[in-house]
Amino acid sequence: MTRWLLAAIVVLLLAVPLGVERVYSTYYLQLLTWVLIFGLFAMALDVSLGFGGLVSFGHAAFFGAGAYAAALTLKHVVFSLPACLVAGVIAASIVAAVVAYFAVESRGVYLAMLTFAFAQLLYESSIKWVRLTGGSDGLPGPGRPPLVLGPLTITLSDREQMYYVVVAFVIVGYIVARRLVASPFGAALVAVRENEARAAAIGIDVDRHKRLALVASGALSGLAGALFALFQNFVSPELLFWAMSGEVVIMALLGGLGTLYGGMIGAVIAVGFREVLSSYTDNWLVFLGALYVVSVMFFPQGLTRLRRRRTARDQPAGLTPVEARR
Amino acid sequence: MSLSSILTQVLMGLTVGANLILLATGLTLVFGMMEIINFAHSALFMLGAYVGYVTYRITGSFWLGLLVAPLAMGILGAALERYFLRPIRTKYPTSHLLPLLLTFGLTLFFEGLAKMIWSADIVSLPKPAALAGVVTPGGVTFPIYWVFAFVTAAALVAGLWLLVERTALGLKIRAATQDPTMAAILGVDVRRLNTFVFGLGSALAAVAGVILGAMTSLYPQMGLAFVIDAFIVIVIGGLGSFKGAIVGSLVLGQVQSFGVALLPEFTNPLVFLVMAIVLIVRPSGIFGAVQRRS
Amino acid sequence: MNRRRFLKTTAAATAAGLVPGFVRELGAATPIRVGLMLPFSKVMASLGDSTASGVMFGYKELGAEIEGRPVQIIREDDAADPSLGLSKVRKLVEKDNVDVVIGTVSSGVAAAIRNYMHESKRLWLNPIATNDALAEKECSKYHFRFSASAGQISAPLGAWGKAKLGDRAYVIASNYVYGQQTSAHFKKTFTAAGGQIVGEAYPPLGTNNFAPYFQPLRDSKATMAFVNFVGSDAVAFVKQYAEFGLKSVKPIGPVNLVSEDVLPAQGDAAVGFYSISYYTPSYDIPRNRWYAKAYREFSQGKEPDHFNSAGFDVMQALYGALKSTKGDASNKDKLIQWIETAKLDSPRGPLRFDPKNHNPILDQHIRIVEANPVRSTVVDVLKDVTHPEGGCTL
Repeated sequence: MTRWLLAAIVVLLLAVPLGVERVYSTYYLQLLTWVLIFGLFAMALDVSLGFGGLVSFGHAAFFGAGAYAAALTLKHVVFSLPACLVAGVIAASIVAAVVAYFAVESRGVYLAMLTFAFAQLLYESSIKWVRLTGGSDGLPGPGRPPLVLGPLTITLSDREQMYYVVVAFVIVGYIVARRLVASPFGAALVAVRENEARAAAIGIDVDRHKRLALVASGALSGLAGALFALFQNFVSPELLFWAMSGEVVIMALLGGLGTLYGGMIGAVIAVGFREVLSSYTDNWLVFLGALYVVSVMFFPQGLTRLRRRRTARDQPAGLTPVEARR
Repeated sequence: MSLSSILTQVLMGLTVGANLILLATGLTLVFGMMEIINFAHSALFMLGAYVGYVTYRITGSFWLGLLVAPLAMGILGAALERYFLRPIRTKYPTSHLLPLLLTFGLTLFFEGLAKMIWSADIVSLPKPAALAGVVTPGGVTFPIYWVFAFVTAAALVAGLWLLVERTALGLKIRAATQDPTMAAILGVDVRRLNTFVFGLGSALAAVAGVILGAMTSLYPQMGLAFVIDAFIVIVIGGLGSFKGAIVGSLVLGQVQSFGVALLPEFTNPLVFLVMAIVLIVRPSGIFGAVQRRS
Repeated sequence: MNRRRFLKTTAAATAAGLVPGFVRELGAATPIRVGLMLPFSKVMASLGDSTASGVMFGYKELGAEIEGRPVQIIREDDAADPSLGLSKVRKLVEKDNVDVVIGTVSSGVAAAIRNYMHESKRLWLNPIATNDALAEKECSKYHFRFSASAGQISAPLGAWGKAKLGDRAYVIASNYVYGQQTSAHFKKTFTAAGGQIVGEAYPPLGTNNFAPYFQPLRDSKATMAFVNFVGSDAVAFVKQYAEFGLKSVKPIGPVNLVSEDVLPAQGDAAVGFYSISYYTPSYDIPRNRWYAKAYREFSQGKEPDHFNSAGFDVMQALYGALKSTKGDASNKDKLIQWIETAKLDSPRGPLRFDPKNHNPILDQHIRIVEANPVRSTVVDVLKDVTHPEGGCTL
C-alpha cells in the first residue's frame, strides 16, 4: 500500500461528512465512525497477532476495559475528554500487562484459552459487580465532554465532530503502530514470531518482546474501546464477551494479518455485511458463520494480499501455504 | 451444613460432573489427536439434540433418537473434518488461528441454520416412560432419568477407555496423539484417523445432546451454555488427557455444587478464575502432557 | 471457484444493497413511518417474533392507513445486543426517518437507547422491556411502557405471598438485572408484610443444572419460593424443581417463569406454579375472548401471550394518538397527551398510563398452572398496580 494511496484514503475519509444531509443521511456517517473504531481495534490486534504471532481469543478484555474505564472516569472522576481516553488506554494496558505476565509462556492454543479465560472472567465480573458497572444492563450515558483547544471547542454530540475526532485518533493509532512495527523492536518481534528458538539463539529476549507486543496491542485496543464508549454514550458487558474477541480476529484476518491497515478493510466488510444482511433477513447469523468459514477457507491471508499471495513475506509463516515455502 | 446435606450436595455435584463428562470426553479426544479446540462441538451437541427430537417426533421413540443422533452427527463431524479442517490443516499446518476460527464460524452457521429449520421456539424432548419416576436414596428425591445419565456417562467413559487402551485402533490413536510424524512413518494413516476421531467426538457430542436435552430443553443456542463449561473442564484437567477430562469434570462439579451452597455470590467468576490459575501454574493442566509442539 | 470473481460479485451485491439507501428520499412525507425494533435473532428471537406478531395483528385489525396516510412498518433486529440496538435505532431515526419507534424486549437494549431516543424526540412505545430505571431516573416523556416494570411484576408478590403461601420465603433468580431487581422488590415487600427471607441464590444466566441449589432450599425450611428465570433457564428450573419433588415449597414468580413460550416445553412439570402477569390467555373477559380467537386465526395457530397482546396494545395506542392529531405525527406533545389520558380496551383488561412516569397502571393477575390442558388460570386479580418507586421527573 503506497503512501499516495494511503493519503488519498485519508482525504476521502475527511471528505465524507461533506455529503451528509446532501447525498446521504447522518446514519452512514455514524456507521463509518463505528467501522473506523473497530478498524482501530483490529489494527491493534494485528500488532500482537499479525506481527507477534500471539493467538489471542480475549482481546475483548482490553477493548471492554478501555470502554468501561472511560465511562467510569466520566461518571465518577472527571468529565474530561483527555482524561477518559487516557484512563481507557491505561486500564487496558494494565489488563494486558497482567495477561501478558502470565500468558506469554503459553503457546498457540493454550494462549488462546488463557486469554479467553481472562476475558470471560472480566465479563462475568462486570455482570456481578452491579454497583460499579451497572451489571448486565450496562452504564447508560457517561456523557460526551467537550474539548477546548484554544479558540476551538469540539462537542462530541455533534456527529461530524465525533467522526473527525475518531478519524484523527485512527490516524494517530496507525502511525504509532506503524512506527512500532518498523522499529528494531518490531523486527525482533517478527523474528520471534517466525522461530522462537532461533530468535532466542541470537540473543532476543523472546518473552519480553511478546509481553510488550501484547501490552501495546492492549493499549491501542483500549483507545478504541474508550472511543466506542464516547461514540455510543453507553457501555455494557457485551463488549467483554468472547464473541467480540472472535469478531475482531475475523476482521484482522479478512483484511490480512501483518498489514495493519488490513483490519480497517476487515471492519468494513464485517460491519457492512451485518448491517446490510440484518435488514434483509432474520437469519443473518447463518451468513455470518458462512463468512467466517469462507474467509478461513479461501482468504486466510486476507483480501489485501490477493495479488501476491503465494510468497508474501510480511505475514506470519503459519499463514503461508505449505507448497509456497521453500 | 448437616452431614446429610453435605452428602446430598456431593451427589448433586456428581450430576454436574457426569453431565460435563458427557461433553468433555469428546472435546478432549479431538484435542489430543489434532491439537485443535473444537468450537463446533457446541453445534454438533445442539444438532444431535435436534436430530433426537426429530426422530422422536417421527417415530415416538426416545431410544431410537439416542441411536440415530450419534450416527448422524458422527457422519457430519467426519465430513466437516474431511472437507473443511483437513484442507486447512494440510495447507497451513502450523497455524492455530485458522482451525479455531473455522470451528467458530461453523458453530455460528449451524446455530443460524437450526433457527431457520426449527425456529427459535424452545421445544421439549420428552424422557422415555421407562425412565420416569424417582428413587429416594436416604430420603433425597432423585429422578431415575438422572441416574440413567450417570450410568451413560460412566458407560461412555468405560467404552472409550477400552477403545483407547485395549484395541489396535486405540493403539494407533495413542501413537498418533503422542507423535503424529512418527506414527505416520510407522504406517498409521494419521489423516484418516483424524477424520475418525473427529467423527467419534461428534457422535459423543450428539449423545450428550440427546441426554442433556431431555433434562432441560432444546433451542438453537443450547450448545453455548453447556460447552463453555466443558472447555473449562478440559483445560483444568489437561488438554488431551482423558483422565484429566474425567477428574476435571468431577472436580468442577463439586466446585460448582459447594460453591452454590457456600459462596453463592462468586460461582461463575470463580470457575474462570480456577481455569486461569491452572493455566498459569500448570499450563498443560493437572494431567496434561507437557506441551510438545510450539 | 475463482477467488477474484467471487469477491467482485459479492462486493457488487453488497454495494447494490447499500446504494438505494444512500440517496435520501425526497418528498416522501406521506406515509407514517413506524420503526419496529425487536430481537429477531439469537436468544430472545421467539419473544421478538411474538411481539412483532401482535403488532402486525394490530396493523391488520386497525387498518393500513390513518387519516389517509399509509402506515409503513420498518423492521430491525437488535438481537438483544445493546450496541447493535443503538446502531439500529440510529438507522431508523436518521436514515429511515421514522416518526415513532416501537421497541424493545431486552432491558439492556432499552437502557442503551434511552438517551438517544430522548434526544431524538421521537415517540418511543416500549412493548416489553421491564427496566425499573425507565420509570424512575431514566424516564422520558417520549417513552411509554406497555408491559409492566420489574417492580410492578414482583413487588405485589410480597404481600400476596405472605398472606397466601406462608411466611418463610426463599428467593432464587437469574443473576442479571431483571432477576436482581425483581428479587429486591419482592424481598422488600415480603419483609414489610411480616414475612422472613430464609435464603437466596442467584444462578448465572444459562444455568442448566439446578440440582446443587435444591438442598440449600430444602434446608432453609421455606414455605414458598420467589422464582425468576427466563427462557431455557425457566424450562430447566421448572422441570427439575418438579422432578426433585420440591413443589411443596410453593413457587411463585413473574410471568416469564411459565409464560406461553416456555410452558409447552415444561408440560406437566409446571402444574402448581404460581405466577403474576398483566395478561393471561384464559382470562375470561369479552375483549380477551375476542382477541384470543382473532389472534389464533391471524397467526395460524399460535397462542396469545403477554408479548403479542402488548404489541397489539401498542398499536391501539399509536392509532388512537395519531387519529387524535388527524394523522399529524410531528405534533409530539398532543400525541403524548392523548396516550397519557387514554383508557385502552386491552385484552388484559383496562389499560391506562401513569402521567407521572408513563408506566402503565394495570390489573395484575395472580395465576396458577393447572393440568388438562396445561395452562395458567387466574386465581386473584390485584387492581390498579402502579410502579412502586418514585424518582421520575418528566
